[in-house]
Amino acid sequence: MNKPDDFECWRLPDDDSVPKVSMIKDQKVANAVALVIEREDHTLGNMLRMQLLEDDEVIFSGYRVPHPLEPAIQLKVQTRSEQVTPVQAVQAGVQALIGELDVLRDRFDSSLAQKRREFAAPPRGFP
Amino acid sequence: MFSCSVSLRSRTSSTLSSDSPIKILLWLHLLTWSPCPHTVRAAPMKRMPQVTVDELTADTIKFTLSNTDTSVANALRRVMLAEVPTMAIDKVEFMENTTVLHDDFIAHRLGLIPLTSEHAGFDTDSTDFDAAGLGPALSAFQYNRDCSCQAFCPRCTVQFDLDVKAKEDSTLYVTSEALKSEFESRCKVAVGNDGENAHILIVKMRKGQALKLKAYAQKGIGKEHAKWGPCCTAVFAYEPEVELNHKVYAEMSAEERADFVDACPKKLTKPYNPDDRPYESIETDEASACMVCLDCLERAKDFPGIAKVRDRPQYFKFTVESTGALAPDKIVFRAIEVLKRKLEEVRDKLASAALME
Ligand SMILES: [Zn+2]
Ligand SMILES: [Zn+2]
Repeated sequence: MNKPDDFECWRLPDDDSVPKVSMIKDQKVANAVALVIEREDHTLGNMLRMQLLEDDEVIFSGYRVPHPLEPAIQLKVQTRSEQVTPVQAVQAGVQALIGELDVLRDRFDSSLAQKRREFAAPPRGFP
Repeated sequence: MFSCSVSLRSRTSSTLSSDSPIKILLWLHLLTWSPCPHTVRAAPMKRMPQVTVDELTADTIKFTLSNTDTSVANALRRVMLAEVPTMAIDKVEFMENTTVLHDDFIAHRLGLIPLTSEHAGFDTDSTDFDAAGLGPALSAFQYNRDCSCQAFCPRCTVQFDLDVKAKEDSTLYVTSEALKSEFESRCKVAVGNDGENAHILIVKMRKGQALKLKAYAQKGIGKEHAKWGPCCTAVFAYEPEVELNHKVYAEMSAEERADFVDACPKKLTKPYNPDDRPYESIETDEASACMVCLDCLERAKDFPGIAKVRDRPQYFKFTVESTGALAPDKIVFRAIEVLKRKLEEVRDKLASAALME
């Protein structure tokens, strides 16, 4: 009876009542924020966390899924100084990942083309 | 942002001497600024992932991904499993059902039949219409909930018909072959390539039974229901790296060496040129042949340091097997695209969330 619709786990409500990203500034720690990202899970959480840890300006980064039935993650980031804010660090991390995926796609594409040339078109059962 | 702060400083030093005190104060204030949160800082060093396709068949792809983090490999795997959109039957209207299976049971079985999902991609905005005027021919399907129609239309839904009556005495097998798409070029039942079993059994009928229904296929993702998952398998494995220490080996007796070499069931370690210099040195063939039996490490208890076996860092061997909904290479391409779109959404929404602060 209280079960949410199946699609609720990946789609935001149409009425914009839930923001995709919201920000909670840490009141006690300097240069720290907690981001709540709606309708995301470990896929994005872990990838972002690991990317942020590559950044020298970031001194803490971690994520958690606060409740297994709620489709949201929390990402906590703290930076070394206010020269680079946590939001900027996340933006840089996201941008780096996007760049990496572009490289990944291009290299997959060229390797695939090479493979196809080697084995002159394998029989394909798909359109 | 870094370049921004540097230019500010150089500017200050050159203007300090000549400018009025008010201006100097202003510049000093800028020096202790809290930086504007909306400018994008230069990204930290980007990794350059390597990809090699090792094997490609009609339904399977094997490739090696290296020079990237485990979290990226895992994200790719998770997206291929659950977030690449495909088409699947979502709503069924029964006109007649006198088979032994009840309506819900058959509807569930229909949902699990893989449908060709070439057009379940992202290019939903294309306005090309086909000659028959039936609907968009080239653009991708909309999600039903995003579509502007009232219930369904060709932009978001493909209708399938099934109408079978058993008239013979023998048992009739109703398979996915009996499901007829209204728009075959956009979406139809995927056909396997193993001859006799190419079609999927839906229900068995005896003489006099009938099944007549309309089924509606719509776009969705595996996270909502597993029927929308494009993969049978999406896994990655690490590759073992075997390192042997020749110094320790040199101190062993010939018998102990023979023992060590024979210990591995895969015969990974072998004597270097056994006729010439029996068991004097050791080598391995392809370390990837190691099945990580760790028998060599068992020996390392008596001879510390003789062998090390570990996972090769940043090296992942992927195997992706399709259900038939999408070609395996397409699954990988679309998964990368889905991941990218996720990140782009976070990037864009983060900017507005930061503005609200
Ligand atoms: Zn529609
Ligand atoms: Zn072994």
